[in-house]
Amino acid sequence: MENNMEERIPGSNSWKRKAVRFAVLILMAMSFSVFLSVVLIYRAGSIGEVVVRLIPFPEDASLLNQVPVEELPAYKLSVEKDITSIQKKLRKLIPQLPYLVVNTTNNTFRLMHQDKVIREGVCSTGSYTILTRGDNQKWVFETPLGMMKVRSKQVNPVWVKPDWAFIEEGLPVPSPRHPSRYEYGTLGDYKLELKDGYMIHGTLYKRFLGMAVTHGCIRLGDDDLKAVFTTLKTGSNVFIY
Amino acid sequence: MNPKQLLRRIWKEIHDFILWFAHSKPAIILALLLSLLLPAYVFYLAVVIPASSCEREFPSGDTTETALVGLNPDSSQMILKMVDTIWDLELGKAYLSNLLLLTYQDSAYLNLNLSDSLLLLEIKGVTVRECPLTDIRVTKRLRCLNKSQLVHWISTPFLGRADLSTIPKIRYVVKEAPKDTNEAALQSDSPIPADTSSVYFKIYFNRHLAIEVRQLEDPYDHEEDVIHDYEKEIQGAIRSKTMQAVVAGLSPEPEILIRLEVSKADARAIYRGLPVHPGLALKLQ
Repeated sequence: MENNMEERIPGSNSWKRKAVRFAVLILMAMSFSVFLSVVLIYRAGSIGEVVVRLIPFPEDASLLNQVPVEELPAYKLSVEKDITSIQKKLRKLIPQLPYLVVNTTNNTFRLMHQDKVIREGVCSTGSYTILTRGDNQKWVFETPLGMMKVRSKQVNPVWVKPDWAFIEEGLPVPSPRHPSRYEYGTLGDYKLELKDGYMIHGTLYKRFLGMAVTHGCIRLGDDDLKAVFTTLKTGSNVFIY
Repeated sequence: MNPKQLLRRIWKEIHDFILWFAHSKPAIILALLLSLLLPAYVFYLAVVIPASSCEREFPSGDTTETALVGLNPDSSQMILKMVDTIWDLELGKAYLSNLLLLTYQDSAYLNLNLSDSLLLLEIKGVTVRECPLTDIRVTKRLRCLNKSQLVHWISTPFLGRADLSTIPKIRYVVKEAPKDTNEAALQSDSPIPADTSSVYFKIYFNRHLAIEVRQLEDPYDHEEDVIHDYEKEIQGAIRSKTMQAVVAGLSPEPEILIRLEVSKADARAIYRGLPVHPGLALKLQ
């Protein structure tokens, strides 16, 4: 049969031609092989997902190597006890005092007492502006994220302007106790001191509430500030995210 | 030889080659061997081993049930049921322990509760953002883990190692201090408008876990390029990892992917609220 074919296919009996054909075949097969491999690598994840479906879900009795059969009920009870104890510890973390949750992305706040929302609304938080002067001086205006505590509360607060407030306005920086540092009314009716100079206070720029415009403090509207001031106690938590 | 003749000659050669190939057994065997040997090797390394490597990655105990030898089938069944319940309890305990451990850190962390379809952003044990999940897709790779392996896998909180996102974590604006009051008056005082761009991000955690968060809303038309680049980068990372492993003769590490869909506002708040290396407690069932 093969001999008949050799006669029928012109030139197939030539060794040179045969060698060329084998070379072409090898080249084509290897190219196809590489192509298929690359496709497999590209699709390994999705093909893997299909293959995994074919693997039966394994049953597991390995616990019996650690715990004898007769001790299983007691072991189960001990795990349940552990769970209850952890749940208790987690529950204890919910503040007993009212607390404030501030969202710096949407510039909103939620005044909470345990699981209940007492009040919610808009606020202003850090603008993420970096103020630079020369090569050495830099101030970053952002509201720190995480948990802080109310350290003190004050009615009719006076704002002691820091250096950056003058630099930002193109004014010369006065001495630390210079009268121009003291500004009345800027912080609104109340102030709640957090840490490192960060505060919750009122604002003259109510049109900016709901926007990221502050130098790091949390600004609230008058009514919201009053509610937050009267609800939060010294030591209350403020959660900022 | 004119082009027409050349074409005819080429066509004839191809025709002869096909005829020769179709009737030559050694050629067919050789072609099959050469074509399939490498793909078979790649398939074994990149697909079969990762799919069945759970035992290697997450050591399991003995599953031979030797302790049940000699018991009647009813008792065995009851004991296995109790063992299963205990593993469920252990899973719950591991999740709660992780949450407790995460409360000791100062920054926000993720509490992913798949059984209640919730993604929670928490700080010190207090939920600051609760995001209902509108869609959850969990890799089938988790199926190949039995409960004891799952307990082992989630025994400690996951820790984020890297992430990819369509939005920056923080967008700072640098402002040069004005020289005088005139220059200060010229500087724009208007706030930067809120970012409304689409939010897609993927966080790579340790122990091969990856959490991909996608917004529920359709992206804007003009954002197609950004989303495409993000998807390309994700796929590229997976492919290059697979390629590198296969070239080195190793099997790639299997990724355990959980894909979540939340609202755009939730996705943005979660991504921005998380630290660079976030912690995660995972509740699977």
